Amino acid sequence: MDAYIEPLKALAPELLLTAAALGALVLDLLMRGRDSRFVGYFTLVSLAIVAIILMNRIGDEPTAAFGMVVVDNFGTFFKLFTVASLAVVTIFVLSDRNESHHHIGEYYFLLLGAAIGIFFMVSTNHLLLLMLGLELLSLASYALAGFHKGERKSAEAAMKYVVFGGLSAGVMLYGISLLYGLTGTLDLVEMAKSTGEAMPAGLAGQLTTSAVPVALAMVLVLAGFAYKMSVVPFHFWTPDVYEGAPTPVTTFLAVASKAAGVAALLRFLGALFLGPDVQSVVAEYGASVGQLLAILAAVTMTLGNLSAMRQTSLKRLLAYSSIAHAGYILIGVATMTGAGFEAAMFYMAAYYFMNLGAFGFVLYFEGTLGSDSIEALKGYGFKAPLISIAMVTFLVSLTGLPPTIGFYGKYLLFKEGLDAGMYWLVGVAALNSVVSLFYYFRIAKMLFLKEPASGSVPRQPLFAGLLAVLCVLTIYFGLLPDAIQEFVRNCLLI
Amino acid sequence: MNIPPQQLLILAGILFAIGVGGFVIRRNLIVVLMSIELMLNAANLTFIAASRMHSTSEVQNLDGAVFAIFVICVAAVEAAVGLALVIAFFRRHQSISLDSLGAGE
Amino acid sequence: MYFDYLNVFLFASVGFIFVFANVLIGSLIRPKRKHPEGLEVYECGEEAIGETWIKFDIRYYTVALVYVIFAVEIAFLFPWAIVLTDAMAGTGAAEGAGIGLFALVEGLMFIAILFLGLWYVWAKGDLDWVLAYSSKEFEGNAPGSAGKLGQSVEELKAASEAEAEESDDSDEAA
Repeated sequence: MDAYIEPLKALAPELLLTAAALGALVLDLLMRGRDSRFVGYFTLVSLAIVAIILMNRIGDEPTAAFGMVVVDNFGTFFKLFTVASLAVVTIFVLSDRNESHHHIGEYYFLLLGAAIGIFFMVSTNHLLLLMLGLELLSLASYALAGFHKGERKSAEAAMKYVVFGGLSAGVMLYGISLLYGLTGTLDLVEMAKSTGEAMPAGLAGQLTTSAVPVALAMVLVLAGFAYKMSVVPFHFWTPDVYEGAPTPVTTFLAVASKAAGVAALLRFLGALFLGPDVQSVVAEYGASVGQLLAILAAVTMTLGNLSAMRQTSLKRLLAYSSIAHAGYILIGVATMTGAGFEAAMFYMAAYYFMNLGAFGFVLYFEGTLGSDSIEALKGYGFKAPLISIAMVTFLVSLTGLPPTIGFYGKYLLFKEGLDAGMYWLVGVAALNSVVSLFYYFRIAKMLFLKEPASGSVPRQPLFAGLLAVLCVLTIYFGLLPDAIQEFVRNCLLI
Repeated sequence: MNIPPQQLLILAGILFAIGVGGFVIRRNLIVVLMSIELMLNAANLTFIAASRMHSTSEVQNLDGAVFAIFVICVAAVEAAVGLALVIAFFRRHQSISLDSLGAGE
Repeated sequence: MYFDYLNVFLFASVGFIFVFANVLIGSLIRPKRKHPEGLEVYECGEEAIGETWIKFDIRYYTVALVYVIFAVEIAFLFPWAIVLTDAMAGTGAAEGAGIGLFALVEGLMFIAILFLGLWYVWAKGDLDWVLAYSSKEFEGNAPGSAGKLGQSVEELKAASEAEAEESDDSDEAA
């Protein structure tokens, strides 16, 4: 009996989150739909408790539970990331002016449900749990994207999300089933470790006979990750869903959901190709997967940046910019080295500050002007100077200029890319950064260089304060990145 | 009577191809969702076939069979959410054709 | 091995022959009518109205959804229930595992969570049979709207009763 109770302690954050999600549902029922703000506060409190538990875990030795869940620092890093972004998203929901129906508590239930999915996704080497976590995240995201189902754009966004999500889930599952058929196991570590002589056959045995089926399965599985990260050619949903979904949900999709995709991809590749007992033939094969990822990275960032230039809606522009950033992150992944993965994780941390900030600005701006077109930004900097200055900081960071965290993140990625000998890829990325300068600074120009329009903007001191904090952190960690870099290094599993 | 797993795998491959083909060609949202179900079921069939392939008379490899049960669950939930959104979409557009999805501005 | 498929082949052939033979015999011996009325569908002497490709009412969707949820629940509970006896007694495959009580509690929690979900949709009124949809009422969760799907049976009843009372009042006044 104890043998089954004991591992539950390792799952404490997940269990707590599940209890919180169910609690949010019950609380919403007990409130009889009067005001869901209390459910929001409840969510914040439970997220804080989960965060405290996770903080205490940093530096612990990795443990396993029930043969499927791996509790290690890598997972803890991304869990903390999820909790932190979810807390900010919850504050966004609470201060969203467009959210006139605060009597609907499912919002928080769905957000917490998505977080549970992410938690399991990032802490497993087993493909079954990985897939289930991914599906839980996807299903919650579909419902969240279509939350304003009476609105044309929201309903359409959710529809597109479901259709593409279903496609990628089907493709990925078929890939997993092929991998299982080829190797006889669903555990990634086992798959990479097995010599191929006894059962399970493992990847090595298959690779020595024929690499073609493995390549097919690998491409199909990678499609699922590509969809979550919105990497070309699985990016079609991104602009429409980001535009149509309620802005807090867009923030969640752009930050937490994308980070989950990156984390799962890192875990997948790390366990399969970079682990301690990996067969040499498998590790060699990993290099060719890296080549494929490098090509995807180049195409993704180029397409994202070129499309972003032509956008008139701020949300769509940020959507294309997030596609481009997925491309930058892939540079670190494509190197297939521990240092490259570290750079990708650091860039995720940088991405947290700047993208949460940028979407927070969109929410503020949408709430006051009722539009998200770039034209409407004209002279906004004179009406709401504080958050406009913060926005300019986030834009500088997104472009990758000093003295911000985005600069250091990009520097690390480029350095690792060069170390791995991918000069052409780093060249493409550098050119892309120059292209991105144009459209990011078009926004900054609109904010400050145009004629000030008349009228003032209603104030939301708490919300503006949150954006100011994010802005300060963007610069602070840009000047002193060592703290985060050290943290990331400790958290990487390889 | 014993069907060799190879034939099951070929059948699964054909099912998957039909699913992808249906997804790409058909414009009716319900049919698109059905194509996705077809793809999931192709994966299921592969799981079951592979599970049998890797089992010996002494050791059963049930990972694939268990995965298949979970896939069934995932497929059902995805269909439920998908259909609910199709209905929300239908009320808006009075149509369930993919063509009435705005191609984005 | 190919002999095994012979049964299937025979069965399929007999099926095909049976169908096509009947169609052939029917076309040979039935009387031929050349009038357009003769080609119409026979529906107990009534004239057929509309096409056969009618749309099903989407309200049945709720029923289907509830069915799907509990059908999938059974897919999980069936294997659980089958091994539970062994697990509780510590015999068979579960010998020495000591998983009995843990498995029981886990299964019950699974059911409890499902029923929590059912309670939620019930309490929220999403299982009510909606009598009428109009596009105006369905603004759903659009910002600024009340977020109500059509009207439930109770509401319609209440509305009609209120109307009846009103008419009574006006009668008395007259």
